[in-house]
Amino acid sequence: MTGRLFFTNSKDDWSVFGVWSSIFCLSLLFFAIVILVSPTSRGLVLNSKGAASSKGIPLVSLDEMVKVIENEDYIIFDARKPSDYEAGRIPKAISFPYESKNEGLKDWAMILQPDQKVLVYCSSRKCDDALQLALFLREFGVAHVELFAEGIEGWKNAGLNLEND
Amino acid sequence: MLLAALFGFASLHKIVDPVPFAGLIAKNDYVPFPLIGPLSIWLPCFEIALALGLLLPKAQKAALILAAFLLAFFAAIIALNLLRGLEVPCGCFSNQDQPATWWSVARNLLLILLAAMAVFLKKKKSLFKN
Repeated sequence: MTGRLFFTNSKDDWSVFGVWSSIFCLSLLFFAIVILVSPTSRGLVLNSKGAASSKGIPLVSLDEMVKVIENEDYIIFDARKPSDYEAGRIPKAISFPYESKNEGLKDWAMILQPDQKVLVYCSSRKCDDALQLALFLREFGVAHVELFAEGIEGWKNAGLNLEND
Repeated sequence: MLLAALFGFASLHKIVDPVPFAGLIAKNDYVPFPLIGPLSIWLPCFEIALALGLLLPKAQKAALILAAFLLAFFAAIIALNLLRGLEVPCGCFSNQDQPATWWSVARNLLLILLAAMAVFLKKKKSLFKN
């Protein structure tokens, strides 16, 4: 009886399998249309860098990140949890967990002037917290926010040292 | 009709701005990284197609069953996150930051019940017609 319901059309109702197939094909058609029409969606499908760029947050490469550390004009925020930060961080990074962004803002509001240069990172390209923190800081009024999308994983893979307590 | 409207409404914000929804999928940590972007766009497309299926009389029964499965899947994901102690927003109807709660699970179960009742009523109606 379940087989009939799933695979056989009746006089009044189409089969579950038939409807599922149609809905699936229709969803792929909509997917193709959305990709064609929306640059944001295209960027998202291609990579996370696209997601960040499409939101207007500039991305920095690993080489640029190394130069940023030597540049005293930048503040570097680590968007991960405090325990991850303590275990190891990019040199000169300050802990600003996205999960407690409002508390972090209270702590750092004094130095976050509109023209202050800020760079944010988290664990890897898969982690979204750094992008969300960057957008949050930009909403707060920090005009110059950049994102190191590769994060800790990219830093470690390049053989660079982490700082810890 | 209610379920069709719900699925249609739920998919709108995800199609207009898929980036936050992609972030939510990434936070859940169940999907491999390369699939996060495509999934964040395909899922709302599937919801819209399902909403259309719910509006077609001959496809309604099957679409209700599919909707119930989808709702059960979402409820399971939310419940699993809550049991793991993750505070991940549901992303069901908006991109707001409020974490999902057991109420989100209960709401999905209620909608599944609604879908089951609709299937039952449709079955009774077609038996009555015959």
